[in-house]
Amino acid sequence: MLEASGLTKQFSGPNGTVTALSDVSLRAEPGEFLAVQGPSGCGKTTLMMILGALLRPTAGEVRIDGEDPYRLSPEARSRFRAERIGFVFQEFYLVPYLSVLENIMAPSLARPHPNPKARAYELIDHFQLADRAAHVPAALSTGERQRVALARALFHDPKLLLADEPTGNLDAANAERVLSYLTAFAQSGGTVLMVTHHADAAGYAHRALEMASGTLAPTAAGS
Amino acid sequence: MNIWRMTFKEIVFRKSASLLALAAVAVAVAALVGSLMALDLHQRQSEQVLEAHEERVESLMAELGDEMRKASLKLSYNLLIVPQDQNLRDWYTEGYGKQYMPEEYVDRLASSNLMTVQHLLPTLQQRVEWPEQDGRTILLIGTRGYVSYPDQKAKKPLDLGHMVPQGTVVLGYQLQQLLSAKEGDTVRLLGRDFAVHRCHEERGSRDDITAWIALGEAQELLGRQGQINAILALKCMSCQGVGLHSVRGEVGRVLPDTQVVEMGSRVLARYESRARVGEEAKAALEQERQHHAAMHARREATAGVLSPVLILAAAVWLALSAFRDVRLRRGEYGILRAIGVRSGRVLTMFLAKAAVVGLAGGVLGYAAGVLVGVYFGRGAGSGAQVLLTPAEMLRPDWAALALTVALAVSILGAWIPAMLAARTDPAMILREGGR
Repeated sequence: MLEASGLTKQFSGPNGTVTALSDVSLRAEPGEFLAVQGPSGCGKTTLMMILGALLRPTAGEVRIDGEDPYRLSPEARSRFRAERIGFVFQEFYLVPYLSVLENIMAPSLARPHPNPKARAYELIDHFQLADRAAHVPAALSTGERQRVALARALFHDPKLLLADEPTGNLDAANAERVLSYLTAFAQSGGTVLMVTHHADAAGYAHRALEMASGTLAPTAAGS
Repeated sequence: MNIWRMTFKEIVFRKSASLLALAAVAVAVAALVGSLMALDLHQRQSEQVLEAHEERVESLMAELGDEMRKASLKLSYNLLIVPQDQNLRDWYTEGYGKQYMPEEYVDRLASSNLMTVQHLLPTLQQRVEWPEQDGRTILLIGTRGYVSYPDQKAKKPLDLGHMVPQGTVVLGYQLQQLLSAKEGDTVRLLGRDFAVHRCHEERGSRDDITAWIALGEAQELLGRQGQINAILALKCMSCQGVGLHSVRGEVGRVLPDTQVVEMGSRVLARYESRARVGEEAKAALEQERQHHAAMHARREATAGVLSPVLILAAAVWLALSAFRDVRLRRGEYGILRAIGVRSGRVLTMFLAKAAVVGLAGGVLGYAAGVLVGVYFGRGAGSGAQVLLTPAEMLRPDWAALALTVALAVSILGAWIPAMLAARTDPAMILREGGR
């Protein structure tokens, strides 16, 4: 389902060129929960952006569902993301002036849904946010915010869910709850790729990879 | 969920920033509309003042014209017609002439139907010594009263005390004092008795030593039968100061061997004086018109600078506000782009907010501008009150201009920040944690 080969990403700056990723290859099948571990600044987020069709690699190829998004036009790539990829971030990125319901429905701005409100309420129920539907993010706990972000990511029922430190701002109980949702998504046939520097979080994945200085290798414990 | 709903919610969410942006647009539009309104009001006030002034001048001119007409009627020519060979220097020295012409001349002139010459008074005048009063020198005037034109006989004859019936005498003041005479007394003059017909009050002129008797009797006493030495043509008609020359010509054609002298006409002088007053009033009106036009031009120039400056200031303020907005909303744009919202929609979202703020600011600014314009327009006027009807206050062309300017200022101010937002790389924003 997700296949990346020879991914390299270099950034040019005033202090010269920095190599964030160097010849990274990976593969994840439908129903697989894959974790990428590593310290801050090792290139995890860059890898996730490239896999999420947001950041063109300097070299290498990405295939999601057999299609290389970087061969598409920017507009087509936007549609591609809307249809097939869900994102969850440590910072949640909820729209502050929209209610929980409206935040979950936000992906309908990118791709129309036949019944957006019903789908949003379905997710609200699934993530146990029914009593928070009309609240704005500022009125929610961090755990609730991350659940809203998860619900938004799943609005169009994507094939691939990319999670960047989804438990970074959560307490243990909420982290466990979010991870269990990710596990459930994978069990339902989706592919999850989570980048984290928490070994505990990575423990929920079927497989964990270790990233260091832009290169990827299986962890000692991961299998 | 749609872009407009998101726009309204965002405007409400960031109330302070939205209100400041709205106020900037409203102030710019209010300044523009207020300037237009004040200029329009000033123009109307000027027109009102000038119209009133013009009416006053017209009324003054009509009054002057009427006065002129009346004056022309009252101050008609007094003409003296004497024989052609009469030396006028002698006339002025002696007070009467020593050349004579036939009495028939006056009848000829009267029957000539000249419209401009009327009230003809034929006289025979001569200084004589009054033997019955110790040889005292007096002026004896024989007159037969005014001769009117044949077609004017029905009118009441002009009586200035010159009608002297046969056998009577009219005495000047000094002569009456000398004789202690009163009406009805008998006075002997040049060997003939005359009943005193009338005595004049003191006039301070040679009239005071004059005795008037009937023309025929004077001709007999002076040995000048059928002769006169002057015809006075009194109250000759004038046509607004023109025609003295033609009057002379007309008389000359009827009585070729006479000369016509004008006696103290004031018609022309008064006419010219009136005309001068009228011209000065018109000049003052023109000066005031130019003054109002100059004031209007100055105000237009001020408004022409002030409005663009305020509009530019509003655009700059909106641009700065939009840049701040872009910074605040980076995370929002990043996630929207990440979940597949196209950059064009992000641009639309941003500009939709600018359009809403612009339209609302335009409406508010237009209303405020109308009120400000009416307030200052009245205060700045020259005292004339101009009451505007609602239709005049709510002019559709100004409303359209206000909304167009408001939209243009908002969208232009937000354009560059919106483009930046739309083009921002979502990966960069999300990697930076939305900062």
